[in-house]
Amino acid sequence: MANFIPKIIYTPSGGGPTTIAFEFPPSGDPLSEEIKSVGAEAISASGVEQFSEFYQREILSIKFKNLSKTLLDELRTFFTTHAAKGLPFDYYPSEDEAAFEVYRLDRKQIKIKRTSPDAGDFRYAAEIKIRRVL
Amino acid sequence: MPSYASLVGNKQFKGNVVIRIDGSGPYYTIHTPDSDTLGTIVTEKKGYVQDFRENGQTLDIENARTTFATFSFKLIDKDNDITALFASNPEIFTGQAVEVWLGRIGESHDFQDYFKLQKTEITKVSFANESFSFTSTELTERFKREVFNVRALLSANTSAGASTIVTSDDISDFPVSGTLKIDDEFIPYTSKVDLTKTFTLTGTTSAAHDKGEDVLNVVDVLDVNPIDFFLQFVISNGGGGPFDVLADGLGITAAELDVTDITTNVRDVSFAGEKFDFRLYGIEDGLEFLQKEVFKTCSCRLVFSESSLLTLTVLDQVVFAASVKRFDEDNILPKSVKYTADDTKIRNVIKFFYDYNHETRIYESVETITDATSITRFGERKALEIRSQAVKTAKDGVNIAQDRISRWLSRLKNLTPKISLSTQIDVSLARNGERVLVAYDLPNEIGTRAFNKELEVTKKSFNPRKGTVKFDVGFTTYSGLREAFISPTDHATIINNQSSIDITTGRGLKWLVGWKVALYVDSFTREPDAVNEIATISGDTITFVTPWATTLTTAHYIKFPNFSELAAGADQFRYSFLSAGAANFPDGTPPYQITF
Repeated sequence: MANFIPKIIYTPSGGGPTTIAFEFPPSGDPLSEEIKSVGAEAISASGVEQFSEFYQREILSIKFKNLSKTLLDELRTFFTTHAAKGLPFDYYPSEDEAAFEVYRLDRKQIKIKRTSPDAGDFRYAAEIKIRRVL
Repeated sequence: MPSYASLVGNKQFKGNVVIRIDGSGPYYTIHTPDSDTLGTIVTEKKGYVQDFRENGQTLDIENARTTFATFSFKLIDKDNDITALFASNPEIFTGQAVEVWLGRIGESHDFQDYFKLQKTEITKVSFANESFSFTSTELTERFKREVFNVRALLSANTSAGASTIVTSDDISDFPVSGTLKIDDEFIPYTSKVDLTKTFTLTGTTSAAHDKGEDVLNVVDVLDVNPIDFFLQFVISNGGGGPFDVLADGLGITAAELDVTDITTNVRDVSFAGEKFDFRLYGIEDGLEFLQKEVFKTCSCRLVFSESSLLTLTVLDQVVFAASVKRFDEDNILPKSVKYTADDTKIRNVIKFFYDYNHETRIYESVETITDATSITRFGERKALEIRSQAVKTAKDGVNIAQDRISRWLSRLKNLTPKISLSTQIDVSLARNGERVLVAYDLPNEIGTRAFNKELEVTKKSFNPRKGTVKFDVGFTTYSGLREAFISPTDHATIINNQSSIDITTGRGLKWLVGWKVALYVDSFTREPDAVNEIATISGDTITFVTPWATTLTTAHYIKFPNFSELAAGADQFRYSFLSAGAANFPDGTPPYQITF
């Protein structure tokens, strides 16, 4: 059964596959999908609607709470060396299942917050949005 | 499998563009086509096509130097695939042929049924933001080359009365006998000797000529229909088929031209029986020659047909048939509409020069027609002058000149608006030079905002990805009077029910949804039923908004109601109606006038 603890596998330039294994499921909705059709709309004078669909896009908003400093650093490295360049990665919604899809980071950003002190450092929260073309 | 033309009316769509460069490389696509039954796409580069636009060709009534359409497209340099092609591509793509197909995704559209655009050749390449941008131009650029330009240089000064001509250059390309042109003298010769570079003249030269003057080969193509000549000039020199008959030519493959359309719809309809005399020599630009001597004289322009073949369109034609494509509020994008009337385009004096004398370089005849009404209204304008070397008095030149002048005057003597607008994709197959119906909220000649006219497409740009088309449309002729197309009349062949009838096969095309109709028991006797409205048309089955009160039989006809029973500005007003005696119509416009 799916445990909804995600993992990311990416291959940085010049290196081998690297895994970020999260410790807990995301906070709230584990996927929080947004499905969007990207295209051009042209409405005639009488209101006849034309829509030319270019492609469909799925965006997942994933919020992590209670990340360790180690995990946050792995996430930073993932961002700075790979995802920030728009490169793809495999996202597994449940690390105990084989299913994954190839995503890219949406808006090329990760939001990080410090949530509580933890042995001379902090516990962290991070929010990432990832997207793929359907 | 549906054709592209049958799908183009679907306004919720996912479009696809497929591009191939140089006829041998991979097929670059936006999406993989729904199917490819013949397996044409052996290698696909999916997702590489980022953008594609067709930048419009412009037709100008006065200027035969038509601008040719260009394509611009972007290919993403995914995995450096495009960059890699530089290794075997020293020309950096320029001059390479571009093939483009348009299709739909998710509508069972097989690649074999995609709409193929005309071939173009790459003229410009740029690289930015990880994409290559290409510009390609229509193959008509190939017309811009020298043709009928066999020449040599006179080897020594020659006195009047010489019976031979000797050149300093090779003369093997000259025919064994023919005509030479030296300066302004045309001299027939009976034989030549390539080894000694000598021509033996039929007679003698009548003037002295200097060493180094051009000796040109002259080819006479006499008593030829101008459209047949166009085909011969373009196809000869290796293009194949029955028009490959001249000693030289542009050598365009006959299969690249829509010969059937050109002969059937252009030559036989607009130029039947016309004969021109062409004298060909020293042509350095085949396109320029055609523009001056054929396109301008005949008011023709090179365009591409719906089957993407080269064809001719005849400007300023009055065609008494309802146009098929309709630009109206259901497909016009409201913010795009612009109405412009340009006073500088008016011409009310037109001169047509003909009977060209090649030796004196003088046109020996001129036909001039002025339009007095236009001169009174706008003042006399600078004359539009047309010169044709090939039109001759002996070949009905006066009538040809008067015909052309009349057409141009009809178009240019009044201040007529040019309308620019953008539309949705359903009318994207309208071609340059095609007549279309524009029914929109624009000023008309009777002072209302119910513009409803047949106009000619003079410019078109198409963005198939967005599904929008920019058009310029203009009047072919403008009388300021109400048009008077003959309205349709059809009898019921099958009674489906009181709201639906079938009419004669093929006649459904003559009616439009929304039109008001009245019921007649024969051609002249109207039933007492109120005016009805067409709700739907499916093939030849017409369904009405309201069931008819009178029991329908196959003796019944549907016809237009009276003028006064139509709403103001109704689409049907462009058809003819009877006014009461000599009285004006209810909207204040006068009865019809027969004009020439």
